[in-house]
Amino acid sequence: MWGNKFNKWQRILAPYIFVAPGFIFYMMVTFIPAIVGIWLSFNQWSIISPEAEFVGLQNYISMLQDERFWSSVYNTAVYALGLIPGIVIFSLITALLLNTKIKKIVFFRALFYLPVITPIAVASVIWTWIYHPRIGIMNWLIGLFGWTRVNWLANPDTVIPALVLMGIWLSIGSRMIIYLAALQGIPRSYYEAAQIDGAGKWQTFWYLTLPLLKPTTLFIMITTTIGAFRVFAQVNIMTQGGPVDKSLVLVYYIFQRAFADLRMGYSAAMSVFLFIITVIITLINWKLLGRNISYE
Amino acid sequence: MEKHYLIKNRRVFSVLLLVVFVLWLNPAFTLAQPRIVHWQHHSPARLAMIKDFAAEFEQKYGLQIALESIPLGDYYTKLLSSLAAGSGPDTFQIRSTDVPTFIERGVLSPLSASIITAEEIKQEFNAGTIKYLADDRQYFGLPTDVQTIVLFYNSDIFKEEKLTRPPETWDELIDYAQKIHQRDENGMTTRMGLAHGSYGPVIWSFIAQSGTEFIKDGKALFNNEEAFKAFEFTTEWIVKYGVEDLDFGSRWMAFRQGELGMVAAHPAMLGSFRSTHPDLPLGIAELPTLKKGAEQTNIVTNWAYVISQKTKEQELATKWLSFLTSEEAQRKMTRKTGELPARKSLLDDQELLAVEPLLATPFASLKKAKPYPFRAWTQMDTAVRKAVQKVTIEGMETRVAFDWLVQEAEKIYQEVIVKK
Repeated sequence: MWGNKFNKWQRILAPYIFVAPGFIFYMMVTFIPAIVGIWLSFNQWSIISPEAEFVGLQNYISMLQDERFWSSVYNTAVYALGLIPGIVIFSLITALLLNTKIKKIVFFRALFYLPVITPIAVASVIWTWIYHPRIGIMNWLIGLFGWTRVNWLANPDTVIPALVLMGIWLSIGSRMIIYLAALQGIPRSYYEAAQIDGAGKWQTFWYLTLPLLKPTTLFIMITTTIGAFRVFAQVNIMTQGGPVDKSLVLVYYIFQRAFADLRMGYSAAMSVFLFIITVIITLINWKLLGRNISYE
Repeated sequence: MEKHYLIKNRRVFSVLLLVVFVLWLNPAFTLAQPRIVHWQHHSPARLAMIKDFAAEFEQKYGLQIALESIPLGDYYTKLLSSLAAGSGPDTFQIRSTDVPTFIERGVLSPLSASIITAEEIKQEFNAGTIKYLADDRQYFGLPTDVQTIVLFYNSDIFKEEKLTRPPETWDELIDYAQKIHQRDENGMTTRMGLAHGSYGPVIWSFIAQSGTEFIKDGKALFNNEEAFKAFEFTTEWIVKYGVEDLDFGSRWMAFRQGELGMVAAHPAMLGSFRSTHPDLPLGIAELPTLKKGAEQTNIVTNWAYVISQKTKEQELATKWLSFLTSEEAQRKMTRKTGELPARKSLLDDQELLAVEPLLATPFASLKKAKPYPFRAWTQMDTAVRKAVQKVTIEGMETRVAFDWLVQEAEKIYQEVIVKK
């Protein structure tokens, strides 16, 4: 009798016990810190002081009145608007080009994937040299077309486009692999049917390949959007938000307020704002691209 | 017989082993000798020196120094997080201007007066380097990483342009820079005359030459004509005289390659130039003044070695910091790293000057230097850089940019010092 009861409880409890380590770990490193972060956003706390003072919505009011905060939101939005379509378009084109049966194709795929495994600090140094106003490759390239040299990272008009271009280079490899996997998952019979129906290459791409890649595109759009709004390392290394705050992006501004000014509560309020914005944009992406998705 | 007993009683043996292992994991057991955890921001040359000092100190006082050298970019992030978590080091470095905030928040322990008294500190260390290190009663830190602002020049370029001595006034500085500056047929700079890189301490040093006060109780006091002229002068290098070309790239690379005549910078660059380009023809001068013979000054920036309030070894920690900032240690540090000594006695040290005669000028500049004028060091450096760039990059009127800087100084004081 006791044996049966024990077996019954074992069956009920076992799944929870197996899930527990992962669940507890997730709660400890993600969920609870996020809740603490939200709580902090209603407090004034200097990190080195044990006491936090509850200030209600004061941090949010200060945030809405802070010109540099809005400037950082604007710069982040401009960066994201350049980066997201750039990555989607170029990674798709790269995947299409690499989805062929030519010799040494694996070499080319590895070549395009290399930036993904390049440490961001190293990539930032490389791109700082590429953008060097006198000896950088970028100015040499535009010089071939007769254009005058540009100080890419010190010019308010070019600093964000320069960071976008680097961001595309950094991310294209990982997205290209995802597109490549999706392209190779489309059954050949679909293309054969299209061919029999007399569809040309462009029509096949437009009416067959692209719609079937919609779930992949949605995934790439969402992950790229989140990545774009969290841009930090390259700004920290290459521009420190300059010149004249023109590359001051939101996460860099949050970092500055938190660890230079010791205004943890204020930084937490901006982080909550960033979280809400990211969720809203993800939902919009889902609403616009998530409809009529067929996985079959 | 003993061996046989242990083999027969495997359980007892295993438990004994486990107990020994657990005790070995416990620092209190293994480190019967006292232990000080010391953090500092990383520089290869400095780390090598500190390791030597630690070994010497360990041998002398029979304790263990656990060193951690953290890259500057991550230093404050890691330090603040660990202090918040209560797991911070016993002794560490912070920017000297941050010491008052850390004192207010109860993070620091005062230096043990039985090791070094307040009077000794005042007598032995340069006044500019210890301004922020005490409250009304006692000292909480000792100075390190001391830097002033000086003018480096390429002596070969000076010879080529027949410039026989360094510039002494602002007019001379521009005159020299114009002689040095060269452009190609398309008007592109091929050799730059002068550079400050919109670097905060350089701009503040020129403003300090006006004799102005900077801030008191949150009120900006540098809103005067003399300070404005100094600020305007630094922007004119770029917008009026064109002797600093923003499109020329890194001033350090240009100077190392003999493509820049003069650069205002920290003396620590001497060590850097010597290690990467030992044959670079170098000269160092104090910053020129507005008028000939006027009082020379500049801004001193430094860090401080401090002790955590949570340390159990306050006395030993003080002893360790005194050792790190002792005359002998500072002499070695200056010789190896180019870092200026904070001890007054070393500013005329013939042994150091015999090894590196160029140090004479940085030493002289330290005697005349004023402490960094704001508690919010990083924020004010960013603000003054932005003010200069508003003029030089955005084309804003200098007066408007200067007024913005004055307002920003008060705003930053409110946000960073008062509200913190």
